[in-house]
Amino acid sequence: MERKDIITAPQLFSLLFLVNIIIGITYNLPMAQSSNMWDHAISAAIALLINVVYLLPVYKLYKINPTMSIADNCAVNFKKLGTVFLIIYGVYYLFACCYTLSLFNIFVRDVVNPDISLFMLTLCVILAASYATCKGIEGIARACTIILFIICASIAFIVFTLIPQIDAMNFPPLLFEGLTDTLNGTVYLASLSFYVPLAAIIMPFAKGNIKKTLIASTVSIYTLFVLVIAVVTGALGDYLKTQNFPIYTAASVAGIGVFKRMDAIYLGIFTSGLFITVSLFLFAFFSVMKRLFGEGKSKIIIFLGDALVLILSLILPMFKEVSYFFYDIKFIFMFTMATAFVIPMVILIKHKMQIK
Amino acid sequence: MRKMITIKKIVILLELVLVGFLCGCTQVAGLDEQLIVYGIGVDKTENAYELTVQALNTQTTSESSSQEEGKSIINMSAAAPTLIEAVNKIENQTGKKILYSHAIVLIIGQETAKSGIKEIIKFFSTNHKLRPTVEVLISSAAAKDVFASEGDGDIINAEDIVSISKIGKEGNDGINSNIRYLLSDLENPQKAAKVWLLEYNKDEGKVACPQIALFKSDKLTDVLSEEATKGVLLLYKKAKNIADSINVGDAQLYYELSKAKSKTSVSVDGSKPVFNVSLCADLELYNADNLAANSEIKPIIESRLAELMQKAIDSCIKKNSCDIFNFYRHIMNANAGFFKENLANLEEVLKAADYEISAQAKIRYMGANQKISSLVY
Repeated sequence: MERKDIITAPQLFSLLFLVNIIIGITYNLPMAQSSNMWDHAISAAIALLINVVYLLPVYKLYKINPTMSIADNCAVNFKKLGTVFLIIYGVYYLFACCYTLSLFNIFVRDVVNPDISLFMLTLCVILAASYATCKGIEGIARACTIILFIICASIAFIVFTLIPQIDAMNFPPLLFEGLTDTLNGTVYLASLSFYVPLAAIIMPFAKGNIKKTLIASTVSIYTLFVLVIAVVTGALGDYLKTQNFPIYTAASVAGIGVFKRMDAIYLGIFTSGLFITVSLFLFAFFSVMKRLFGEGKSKIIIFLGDALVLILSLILPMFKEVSYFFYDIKFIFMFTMATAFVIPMVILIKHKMQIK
Repeated sequence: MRKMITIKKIVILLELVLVGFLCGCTQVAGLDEQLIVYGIGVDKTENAYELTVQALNTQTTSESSSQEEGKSIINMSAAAPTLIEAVNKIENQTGKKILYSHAIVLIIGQETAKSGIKEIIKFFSTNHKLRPTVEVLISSAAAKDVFASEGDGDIINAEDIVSISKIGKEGNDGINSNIRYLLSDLENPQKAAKVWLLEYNKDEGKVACPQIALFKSDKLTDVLSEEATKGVLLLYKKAKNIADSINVGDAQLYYELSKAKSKTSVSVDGSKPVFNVSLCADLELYNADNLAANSEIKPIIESRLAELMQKAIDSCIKKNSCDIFNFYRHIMNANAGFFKENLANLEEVLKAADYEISAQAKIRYMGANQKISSLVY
């Protein structure tokens, strides 16, 4: 199997890092089923270890054959079961798209509350992301590098301006109310490790030291997360409990000198990063469909996938019965674990048995 | 290749067409079609809410010269059984949609605050996207009167009110009285909320913020005296620009704090916490021109500072059971087990606690004909 597009290891890092930033900034306490954000600093440390475990079989499969993605591995090592695995991955990547886009819709509807049609906004994002997907991973990676630089600068600026507002009294003792918040936070953070199944698809397109890249991206993500938790908790304190998007609230109260009202920066980060995130997951979905149905039919499937993402991301926030299940961290955790760890491990075991 | 170029052109055209339908451009409401609100006042009578807004008069602003700046602000009121109806009434009066994003102050009448403020705060912050940095003040008179006042021909505008409330209280200094801190206090059952009281002098049409209003749950429970208010500011880690006076013999001396920093620690002695509050203050002393260097001035000032802090603790904790100093958090951090055991009766624990207060002052003697060098501390 030949690689068509080549990205470098730093570009792979920026793709994975950006995806996690975008998913991370939708973080909120009600979804994590917690009331204490500070305990999630410990959750982040535990989630980091869980992610390292997640990455082991994925990386091992990559090492066995660097030209094969997880989709190729599913198809080569299994027949019917491989098809089932491919469908699971396809659904997972669509799910990741819908999840991120639906949270963006909830944010725009509830917090920004613009006069523009949410349907048109979502359609624009999906169309633009679809177009980027068609251009290939190289184009996405190049755009990602530029966007990531701007996002990192913005985050650094917001953090810097929030530091003077940190009050030590806003930090409760760690594990003060027991382990519940920490455990829920761990499950929540581990469930949002969408980047691991994503890495399983796009690693074959990268050249360079992939092992270092994966470790660097995992450590960077959770270090950034702990830093943001510390700053947001210290600055906002109990006000966090009333906020659905605490990081957005932190950005809106951040300010230094004449630089105030920086919630627009958050909006810019979310929108630009969302474009890359959706295009990456659509690319992953496209790769899986191509493997499943061949190149010809996969273009129709991608169109159907776009339509599904558009409809689901708009409808999901409206129906509590469905959204309860869709946003349930236990369901997302099981789904992520299946795609990030279980299926790669099954493939690895099958591969080892075949060698023997 | 041609097919790819055609597809690219179609996609780009489609995107441009979609952008045109985004309605952000076609259905946008101009600034002159919106009521840009700077200040909001809420009063509650038995049956109705009275909402007052101070807004920018866009018509006059565009036509007037700089000398007629005062008329660029207009005040409007409406009364209705609910706040949302009052809002609708104002919008119907003007034909404009209210834009809250520029509001900088929310004033609630003192009588209204006694029946609870959480509903009012949440209405504006959640439903109408009032920014978390909006100052919340309790007015000694009706909020409507504050906005409607005209002293010396000038309307007291929201910006002036906010400036008055923030004098000497920049950044983390002093009491933060905005929506964010207020909601944070209201959400925590162990904490009490505190807000600046806006005193309104109807005859002169002037406002000042010399006192703090205390809240139990979300209802106004007490207003601290000016001395207790100074004590609260001293207890709040950092403070500056607090002015006070002392008597030394027959002379009355004035001092102003240029810098003050307090530190609180707690130890649990059996079943009673013992709080140790220490204050380090740099201050400038006035009217001491004709006094010789008096070794008693420093202890008198230090004793006075400690007295102010004690008054604050007596008013807030002992009298009103309002922990606005995060003393509960100090106990939580120092002895989590004790805190959990006594969570249900924390108010009584804080009332019964011992408070050892000490102050250290560095004094700079100010004045023209001073016998004491101004460089001496």
